[in-house]
Amino acid sequence: MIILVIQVSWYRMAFYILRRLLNAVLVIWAAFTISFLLLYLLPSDPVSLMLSSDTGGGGSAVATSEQYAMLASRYGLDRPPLEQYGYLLAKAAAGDLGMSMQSGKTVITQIGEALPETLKLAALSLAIALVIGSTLALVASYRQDGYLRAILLALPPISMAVPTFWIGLVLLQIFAFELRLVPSLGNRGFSSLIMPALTLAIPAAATIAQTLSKGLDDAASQPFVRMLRAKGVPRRTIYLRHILHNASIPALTVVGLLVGNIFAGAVVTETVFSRVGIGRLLQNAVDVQDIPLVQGLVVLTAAAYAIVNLLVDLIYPLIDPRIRRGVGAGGDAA
Amino acid sequence: MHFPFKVYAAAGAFTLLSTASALAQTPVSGGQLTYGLASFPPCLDRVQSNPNPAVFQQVVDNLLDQDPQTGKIVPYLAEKWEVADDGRTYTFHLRDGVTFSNGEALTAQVVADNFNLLWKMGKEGTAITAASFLTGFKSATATDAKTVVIAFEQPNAGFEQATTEKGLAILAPETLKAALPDRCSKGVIGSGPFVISDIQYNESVILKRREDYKWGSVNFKHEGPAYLETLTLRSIPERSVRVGSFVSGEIQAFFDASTDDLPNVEASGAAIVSGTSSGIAGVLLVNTSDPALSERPVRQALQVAVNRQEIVDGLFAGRIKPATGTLSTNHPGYLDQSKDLTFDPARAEKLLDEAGWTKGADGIRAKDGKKLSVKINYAGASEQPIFELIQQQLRKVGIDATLVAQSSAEQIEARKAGNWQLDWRTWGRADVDALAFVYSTVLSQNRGMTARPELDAKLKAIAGEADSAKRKQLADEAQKEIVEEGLGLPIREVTLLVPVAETVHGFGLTNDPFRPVFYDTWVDQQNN
Repeated sequence: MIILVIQVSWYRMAFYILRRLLNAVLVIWAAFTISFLLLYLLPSDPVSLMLSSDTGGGGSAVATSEQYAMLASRYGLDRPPLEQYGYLLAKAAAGDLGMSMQSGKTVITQIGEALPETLKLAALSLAIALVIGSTLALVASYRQDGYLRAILLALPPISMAVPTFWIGLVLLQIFAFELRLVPSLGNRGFSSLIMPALTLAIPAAATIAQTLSKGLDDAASQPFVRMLRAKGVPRRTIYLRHILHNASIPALTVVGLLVGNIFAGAVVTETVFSRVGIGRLLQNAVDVQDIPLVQGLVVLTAAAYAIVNLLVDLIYPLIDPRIRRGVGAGGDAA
Repeated sequence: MHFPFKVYAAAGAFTLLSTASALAQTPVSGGQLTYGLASFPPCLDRVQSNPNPAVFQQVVDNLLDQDPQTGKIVPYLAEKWEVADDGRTYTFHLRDGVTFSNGEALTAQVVADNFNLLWKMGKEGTAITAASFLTGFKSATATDAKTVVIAFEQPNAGFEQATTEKGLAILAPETLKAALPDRCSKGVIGSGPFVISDIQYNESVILKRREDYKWGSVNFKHEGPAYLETLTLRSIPERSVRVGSFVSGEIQAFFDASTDDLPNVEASGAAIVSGTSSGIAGVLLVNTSDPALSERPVRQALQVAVNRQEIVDGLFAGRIKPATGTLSTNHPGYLDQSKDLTFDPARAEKLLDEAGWTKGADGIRAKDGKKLSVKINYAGASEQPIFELIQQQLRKVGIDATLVAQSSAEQIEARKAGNWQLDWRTWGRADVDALAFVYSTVLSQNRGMTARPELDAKLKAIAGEADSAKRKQLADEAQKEIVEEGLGLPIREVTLLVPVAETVHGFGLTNDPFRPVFYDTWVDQQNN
């Protein structure tokens, strides 16, 4: 009997994962398609942009229609949009995202160069955000008295209202330019990673703190807490073992969403800190309307988002046995 | 005996000053310098329309060079040259012993291959700006190991100066054989004083000097290898971070400072090196097919309603010159037209009154129920204060101006579609051929201007006129027409301000300040 139950739930689990995977593929395909459409609706076209890289003191000469046609056919941009879409989609499905129009590298190469740097940044900032956010929420929720609690609970909305680039610039001014403790520029090991990670972590920590403190307060007011108190369990134990456990589900959902925010925040943070990474790459690519590169990056971001949310969905049942049973009933965990 | 602190300090400062001046007389070889760029060059090959040539500049040489002060053409890789057949045939005699950084030798055949490939790339649309210098190209032939003849179907009078432009730099055979995308991502191989040693895309390019370099332009101030051993060009997109990195010493110079940055930068003891683009003075080009702007008095009123002096004094602390002609003051074809560009609101009002544009209750002029309003198109937030000031100035004489900030994509589209009234244009080229690329209704990127066959013919004739006196005459006439007819409103010169640390000497900007030259630059030893 017991073996049978496990087998059934294993089968259901696999089906659940497969469904989530299909979902993820759908999200990525939608991102590819929408980005293609949007790039077509933007003003001008990539050929004109390639022909007139008009910055600095130069400017460019006017291309003849023959020159335009030659260049367009070189990149396949003279074909009807639907044909281009089909061609690009087929190639992308085979893992070839094409060639960047500006840098002379393949999109995969460019992403490969930039991604590790952004992953390092995202991982560290998420770790910092989790530590700061959870600590803040726990301390604020644990304290019963008014003042400190009020101050601590006011921190998240304040720090969320402050723009990321401003946080970055203030950190740079203090720690790089005045105290000269860390380099201000580039990707030079761990010391150059701290400040950008902190910049990204502050708004993320605020979000975590807010969600978690709300969850903690909700859980703390539930009857089982009174029950535990009555049984004589120390308050600290109740908090760390029972209340936190119950409050962590909504916080986990938020963490999944935060990964997307951190990717978006990387655009600003990597620019302010002159770092190599996906955010900078995206900003440059949009600037010059480098269609293959923008598309590659949109697909990548969609994939990252889908994967992280998949992971979050898979962690839920581990935390909450009710969801484990819910999977069996065919419901979505989220 | 106790000296007050101030005396010590003064003595200390004096010693420092004298050391600095002593060092200034004897350049030191060695050391490194980091130069901050606002953006990373998307493509490291200038030939393929590269908007950021700072890297390319350091690794290549040209056949000829131009004296930035006088505009005179001087020897570089070619030690002698002749122009024949009214500018149809150019013969270059190359100097001996030049090698590219990969060891390949510079021969006449290599030079010929360079031009033939460039012409082909131009036709294919992969190098239109560089190839536009070759208009009417027929052939490039090596007649012996050191002599190359470049022939044109029709006279190309601007070609002599064009060989000094970086788009016509001479590249190694290995680069000529390379795929175009690779030239972008890995850079080109040239015979210049620096060699690319490391590229971190979006971050930095590290250049090392060539120890065997000995064929610099006569414009250079020394011979032999460059002083700097290592030159790092680092991209720092955020302006305030460039300033902060400079003040804290992480970088020793950067491109480029705004007037707001100058107090901070100067407080750190830095010098400000300014460089003015030799070319068209930054201009609001006028779309003469627009109903209001098709009226000559309106254009002429605009010309004198703008207070150029107020713009440069108010926004650039007087560090940038107002436009005093169609071309910049350091341009070989410069013609002083300051008289026609002097601020004269009374004249502007009179012209508009006479043309039937009367002021309404809101202070804006109107005729036949139509308001006198113009749109000013521009890209780049850094220019915005200029146009805001112009907006106020025009308002005073009853012209309503709307500012249209565009992305570069929108800008290109608007120009192509003829959907513009006043459009901010710059064009750097130290030859009078520059005029045609902005003002010819045929060659300008700005489409939609009413045909002006006479001026267009004049601008075309400049390209083919080999007689320099006649060429100057044609260019002068064209410039007069442009300003007097109000075909463009020249506003200010295109000048960049580059802060340079105290420890750095011999840094100079050419007549194209977008590509600094580091060959003569050296740094104090204690800096290393």
